[in-house]
Amino acid sequence: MKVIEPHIHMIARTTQDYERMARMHTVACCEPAFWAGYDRTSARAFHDYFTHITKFEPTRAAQYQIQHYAWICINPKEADDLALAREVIAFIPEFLDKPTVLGIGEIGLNRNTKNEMTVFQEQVELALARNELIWIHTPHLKDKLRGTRMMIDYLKGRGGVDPERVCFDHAEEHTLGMIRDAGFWAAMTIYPITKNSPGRVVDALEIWGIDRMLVDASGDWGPSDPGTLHDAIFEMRRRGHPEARIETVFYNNPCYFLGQCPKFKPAPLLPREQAWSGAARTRDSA
Amino acid sequence: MPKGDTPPVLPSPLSARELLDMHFLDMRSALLETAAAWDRIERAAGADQVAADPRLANLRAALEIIARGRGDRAARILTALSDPPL
Repeated sequence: MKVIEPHIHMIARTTQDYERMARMHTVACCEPAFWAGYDRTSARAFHDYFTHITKFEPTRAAQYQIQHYAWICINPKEADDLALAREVIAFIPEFLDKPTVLGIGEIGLNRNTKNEMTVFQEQVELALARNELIWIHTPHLKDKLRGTRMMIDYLKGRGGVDPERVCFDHAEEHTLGMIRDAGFWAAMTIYPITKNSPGRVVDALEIWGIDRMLVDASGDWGPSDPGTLHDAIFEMRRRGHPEARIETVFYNNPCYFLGQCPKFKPAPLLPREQAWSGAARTRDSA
Repeated sequence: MPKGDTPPVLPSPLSARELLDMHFLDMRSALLETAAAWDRIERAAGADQVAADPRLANLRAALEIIARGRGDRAARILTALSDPPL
């Protein structure tokens, strides 16, 4: 079974992780632009970072037959400095034109501040003006509920945003309902302690169904592991879900969402109406 | 804050605040895993048949021990989940 990792920060991972991912049948991975673990000191540092994830990482991944894609933005954790953010936003279009860049992301909120919201809105406008896909980071821990609501309300209130082209990441039990009710894609991150476990992710798939749902490991420089994505695959198998349903969650669904960008090459194995029909809530013997 | 019933022979080198900072996310995560697994059982076929399972009653008792705000919680939970002495 082929697997797509929709969210991982390979800049923070070793080459051995690419090798492990390849051995676990990962055929493509996506790297949203994010915080480096420290605040960058200038816009040029972002330019260097964007160059790295659009040039070096695709080359490194290709050695293991993995297609590497990227999302470009100024991340929410460094968005409170409006002047710096706007300096970065000015050269984002240069990178959106790169052959492996899928859209704007991961934009969003961190502490739900006014400046973060301003930068979020300005990057949404850039995405809409260029008809780009949008990948959204929802805040951590106690800030997640409010921040997710703020961004959904903004996008619905603005109008003109096709929810099919927007994915809210790091969803958990208390935010999945509002994301799905608004028609957006939801991604659940398996990340030790602060986000979801494999068991809770599979719970959510059982409760809500597999349509418009993605799962990622969001591996970075923190205590995380690309293998947790595959732990969730095993958890689905352990609970008796059929292989076709598992394959849809971990391969077809990323193709349905990411494939809206013509640069994304992997193709789904069947039409999404067929993959999602009857599979949402029922247990079958396939 | 109530003290644990058993006074420590070796007091923690870290303060209560430092320990809370260190452990809060792990404690939060463990509670979430328990809540999610409990929901999972109640959603599954045959949930009514296990509603009175003594293991679930034991877990309820354990949660009360956690929430009661007294020390020696781990020992009290393990004792509550143990067969009584002969």
